[in-house]
Amino acid sequence: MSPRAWFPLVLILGAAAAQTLKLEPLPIALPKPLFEGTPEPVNVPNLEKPLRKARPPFLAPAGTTNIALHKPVTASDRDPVTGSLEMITDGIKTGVDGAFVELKPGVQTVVMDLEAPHTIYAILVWHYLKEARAYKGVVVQTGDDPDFITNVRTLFNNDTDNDCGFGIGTDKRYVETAEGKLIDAKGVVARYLRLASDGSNRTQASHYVEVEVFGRPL
Amino acid sequence: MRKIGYLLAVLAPLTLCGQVSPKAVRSASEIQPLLASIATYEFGQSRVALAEFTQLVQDSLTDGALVKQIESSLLTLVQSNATSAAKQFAFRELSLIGTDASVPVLAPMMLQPSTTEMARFALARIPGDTAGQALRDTLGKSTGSIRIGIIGSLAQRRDSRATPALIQLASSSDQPTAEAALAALAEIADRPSLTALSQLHSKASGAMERRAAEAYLNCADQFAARGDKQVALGVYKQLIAPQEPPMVRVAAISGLARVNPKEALPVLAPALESNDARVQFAAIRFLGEIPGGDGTAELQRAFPRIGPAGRVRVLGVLADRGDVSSRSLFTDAVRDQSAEVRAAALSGLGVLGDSSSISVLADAAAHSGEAERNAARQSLTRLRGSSTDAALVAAIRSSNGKVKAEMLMAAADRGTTDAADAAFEAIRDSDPDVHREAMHAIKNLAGARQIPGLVNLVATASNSTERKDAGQALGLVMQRSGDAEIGPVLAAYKKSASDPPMRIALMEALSRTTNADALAELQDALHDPSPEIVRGSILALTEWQTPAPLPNLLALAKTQTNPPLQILALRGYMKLAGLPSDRPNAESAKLLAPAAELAKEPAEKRALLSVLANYPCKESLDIVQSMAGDAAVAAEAKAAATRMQAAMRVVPGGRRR
Repeated sequence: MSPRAWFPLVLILGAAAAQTLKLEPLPIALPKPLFEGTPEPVNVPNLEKPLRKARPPFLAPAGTTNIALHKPVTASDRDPVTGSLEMITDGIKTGVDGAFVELKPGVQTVVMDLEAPHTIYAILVWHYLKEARAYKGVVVQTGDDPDFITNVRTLFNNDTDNDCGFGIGTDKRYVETAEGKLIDAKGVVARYLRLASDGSNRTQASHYVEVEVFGRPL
Repeated sequence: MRKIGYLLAVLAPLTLCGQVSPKAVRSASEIQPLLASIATYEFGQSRVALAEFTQLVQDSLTDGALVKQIESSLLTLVQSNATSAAKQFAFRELSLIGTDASVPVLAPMMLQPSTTEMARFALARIPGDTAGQALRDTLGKSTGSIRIGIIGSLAQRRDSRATPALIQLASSSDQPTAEAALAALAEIADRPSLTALSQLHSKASGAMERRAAEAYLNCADQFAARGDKQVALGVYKQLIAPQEPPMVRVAAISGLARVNPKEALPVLAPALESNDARVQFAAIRFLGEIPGGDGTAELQRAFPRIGPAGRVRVLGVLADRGDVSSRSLFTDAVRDQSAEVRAAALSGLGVLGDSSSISVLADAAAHSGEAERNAARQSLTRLRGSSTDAALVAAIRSSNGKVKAEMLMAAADRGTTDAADAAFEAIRDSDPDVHREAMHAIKNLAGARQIPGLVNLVATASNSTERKDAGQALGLVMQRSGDAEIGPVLAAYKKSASDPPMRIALMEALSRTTNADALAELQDALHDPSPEIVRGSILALTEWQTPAPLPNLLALAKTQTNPPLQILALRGYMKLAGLPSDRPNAESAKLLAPAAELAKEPAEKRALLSVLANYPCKESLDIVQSMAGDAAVAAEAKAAATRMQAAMRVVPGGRRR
């Protein structure tokens, strides 16, 4: 076959590849801002500078959705102080009283089972919406097994003292807002997701309003 | 007396600071030396002399002759070439002790730009009409900002004798002067002022129109404050007219509602349909504040005729009143064309609704947009009434699909334990939403009575997720019910040898107890040939609430040849060793020492270093330092050592902080 004969085929394959890689902004639905009262300054070390504008759109392959919605969640604290673990993936992110889960003080982890391996592009975490605060020891990892023994990959870690026991991280602490914290997962393939935290600058307890995982099935 | 009180307030802190000591007897000989040093005072310099002079004034208040000498000396100072700062001090003192004797000196100084402010400040505070007359006389001789200042001082004194002059000035072609005069007349608020303001208001135009209306309104407020409500009412009614500036109308509506709510009603009603949102919102708010049912009735009557924003306000006000007579309005408004109105109605039903509102709210929660869904869900949780929970249980049984799921969610959030059986009935529902919410409700609501049902649910689960959920629900119920209810669970566990998934799910439930038989069963399962069962028992023992399983887990971590199980056993051991206890830190370090030898992977070493850092003592530090040579965890070892060393400087050899 002559090179000229290959040309249409190359075009078709190229168009198909372009279609596969078509990127679109993540379908993120932000909750309403909910700060109450007079804000107190967040004076903690290693704090990320606020962006002071809307976060730029995060592009991911077309068809990427929140694959964590209604997926099972377990936690090191089986009996949260308020709320229940299902709230972390229930799709309700108003952040009002009764719509978030509070775990007991100290280091706590939550594990989400996506029920099958997925390609993960981003993780969006809302710990708390009612005031500007910065959580400590935020660690986000993926794993291939529920016990996080094999192929554990750390996507985010701002635990500068290894308080959570997952190693020292170099990511910055950040102030909670209605935008949530978006973590670039760079297309990692995993079934399980583990999030850790060790309270905040305001309280020793950890909270979760919602965690969204944007990805696609394999 | 007012001045004496003021003086005491000013002097008390100075006295307390020890800078100035009060003396029992003061003499005139003290005046001049102090004033001599004050005469050169500049801002920023020491104020000791000033404080001493103020103390002298205070100590002299009961000695009329001495006060006169002080007044005379101060008047001399203000006319001297003393510094401006010194004169300001003298004027302030004169404002406190000045008498008619000061007036001839101060009055001409009001016309001098360099002294006008402070001279007027002092004069305005000197009691008696001599000072008032001086202000009125100077008013006629002054212009510009000096005249405006004097107008302000006359208003401050509420000097009725100045009213005729102020009425004249209120028509001045100089707008700032006219505005100041209008404000002064409103402050003086005597009958002639009121009449004048009424006339000025009726013929004002352009920029003065609003000023005149505001002054007229403020004058009415003064009458109302003095108890002359009829006069005030007349003005408010006049100022509520549509041609008045919107904010004046809002203030007039407020005054009307405050002074006479009954009479306010017919005036407020038309304002509900105002095209100006500010006026409309004020009318809604003040109607909502009128006691009795008339305000509510008027708001309900007007509801269909006002725009969406107004309707939202009306619903908010009615919900705040908590008047259940308006419930039907809310029920109807749930079908309003505006989404905002629908959300407000759904939100209000949480306060005003009853059992009859359950289906309306659940339907909205199931089929509406986010704002309405959130409002409906919150209201379902807030609904009051003795029959509401029973009605909710009945509604769960008679509904299906998303509506049923919403009702189950509400029952779980409300803690309606009577709904536990209805949730059980719904657990096999083919609708995934209903199934999920039924399981959630069971976890929240089920009690000891439901334990056999939950055990059955674990046994008959259609998939692993459902079994795991059922096991968790059973565990939560076990925890709520206490060890006395463990019988059926233990019995089922013992029969589950041939059904590993069921056995593992029941382990979760057993781990929630402190029952010795349950502990023995879990310890025994560590020796099971099935890795699945061993894993389940390790995880269950890791959740045990006491350190009792420590030896079992340590033994397994030492002997287990399956690496994942060895790691899980080690993690469990470290977790239980790290539980809060009264153990001395050195004992905890001793307990954790074997973990340092058993931890092969960096992940486990990091976890151990994190736990050790909680027990600052030499023994912990030795373990940490022994691990510092491992490049994979050197940074974490350094962090742990630093943290411990810092803590040991504070609490050497203490218990876990």
